[in-house]
Amino acid sequence: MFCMDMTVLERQQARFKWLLLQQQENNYVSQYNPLESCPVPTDLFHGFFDHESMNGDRIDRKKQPEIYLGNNDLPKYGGFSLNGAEFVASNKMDLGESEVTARSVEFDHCLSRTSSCQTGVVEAAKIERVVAVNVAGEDVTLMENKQSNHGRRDNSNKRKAEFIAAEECDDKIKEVVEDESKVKEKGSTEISADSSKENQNTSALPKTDYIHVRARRGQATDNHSLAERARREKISKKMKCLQDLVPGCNKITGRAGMLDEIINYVQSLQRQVEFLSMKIAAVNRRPDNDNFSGKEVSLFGLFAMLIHKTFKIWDSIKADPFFFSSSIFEGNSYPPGNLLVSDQRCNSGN
Amino acid sequence: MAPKYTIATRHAKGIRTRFASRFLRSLLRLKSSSNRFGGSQSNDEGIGKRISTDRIKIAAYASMARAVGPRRAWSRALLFKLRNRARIHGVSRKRCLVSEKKNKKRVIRNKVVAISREPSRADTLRKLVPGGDSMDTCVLLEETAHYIKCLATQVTVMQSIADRLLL
Repeated sequence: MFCMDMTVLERQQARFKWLLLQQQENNYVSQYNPLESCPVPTDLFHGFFDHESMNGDRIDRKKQPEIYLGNNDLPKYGGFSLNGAEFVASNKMDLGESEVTARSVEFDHCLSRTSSCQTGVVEAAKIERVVAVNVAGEDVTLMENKQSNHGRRDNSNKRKAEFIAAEECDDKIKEVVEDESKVKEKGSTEISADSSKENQNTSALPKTDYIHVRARRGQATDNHSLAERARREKISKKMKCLQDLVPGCNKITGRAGMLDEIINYVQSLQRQVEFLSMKIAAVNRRPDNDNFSGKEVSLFGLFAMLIHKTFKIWDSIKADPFFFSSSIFEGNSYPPGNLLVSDQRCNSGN
Repeated sequence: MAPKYTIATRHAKGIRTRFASRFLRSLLRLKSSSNRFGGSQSNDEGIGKRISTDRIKIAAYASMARAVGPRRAWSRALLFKLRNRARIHGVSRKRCLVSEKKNKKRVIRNKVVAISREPSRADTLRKLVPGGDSMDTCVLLEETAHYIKCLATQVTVMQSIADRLLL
């Protein structure tokens, strides 16, 4: 997963460089206006910082400058002023523990566009929202590739766009999201190489606690679905860990069967504990002849062996029955019912 | 023996050794207490000063919970439950025997009324894992994983002890 992020990083960096070159020509920030058509940016970088403490995970999104390339169409923006060179380059937002790098820019961007895009870079028609994290010190965090269609139709009903007020620096920042499922149907004339990466649904956990989530095409990207998707992914991750622990769960797919198996396994383990406690009680029940009974001696002996083991005197306790559970020590999941197998293992090890 | 025991329980790496030392120690204590009171009569069904199956089971769970430590939610819940049970059992047995039966019936009635839907798999899992009532699904799965691991080590250690004692 991480290698894919690296390629994304490289691509993003390449894009940044390319855009910086174009920066001189047309840089302006537009107001958000979902209803009107706005000029299509050839490339957009959007980052979001959003602090959402969901079980320790944080979704950070950072807004980044949106760069319109070569499009000076401004009639719809009214009194909006063009800021050609307004890159708030060294804008540092402290959002909790994260810091925005020098590239972060606070601005608002228009999300719905219907006009044709530039002849420049035309990303894939699929909208992605990458909710990424800006690890402190790294420049590339977010890429929101909004692909505009080529002005053929209006996707306003399908598109959801939220305005991000970058100055707020709230802990919970609304996401800017666009759903491009319809856009992709039309397709774009040029599909850059980035489209392949945009089809992935990756979530990586970088060294900070942020979540880097990429929305798949056709999937809703509002707050609730995102949160639900993150929760579902967490649960599926934990189910996979459980699958390794419970023996015989490799063939079972699906949550219901897995849960049944887990429940059966826990119940069987608890029953085994009860049975073994009965066995130990039965062993203790044997009539003792002396005060120093055989069982006490053996118990003391076991205890002494255990103490020896903790001081790492391995040779004297090779016959220690604890050894046969060394597979658990090594981390394998070992069904506890196979006594014979374990004895053979112990013997072969000796 | 005391300092060696603390060393064994503190520095011993792995939950297996910690649990084994604690369990053996509690077994020895049980055995000595039973020897003190009524010779070496141990009965499974008799209530009283005998080594019963339940005592060993409780000793096993308690030693496992202590070996894990208070880091895990299930171990905390298990220790809490055992302490409450010990307190109730220790204070007044006769009164509790009568009152527990009544309470059970009342409790059962309330439960039947409250839960009208079929318990889902997550609910059954919550009943199995100690302290599972106050966990959401995500945490429940995590605790289940650790609980399964500890139960498996518990079973293997108890098996080895039982086999060793038999010989």
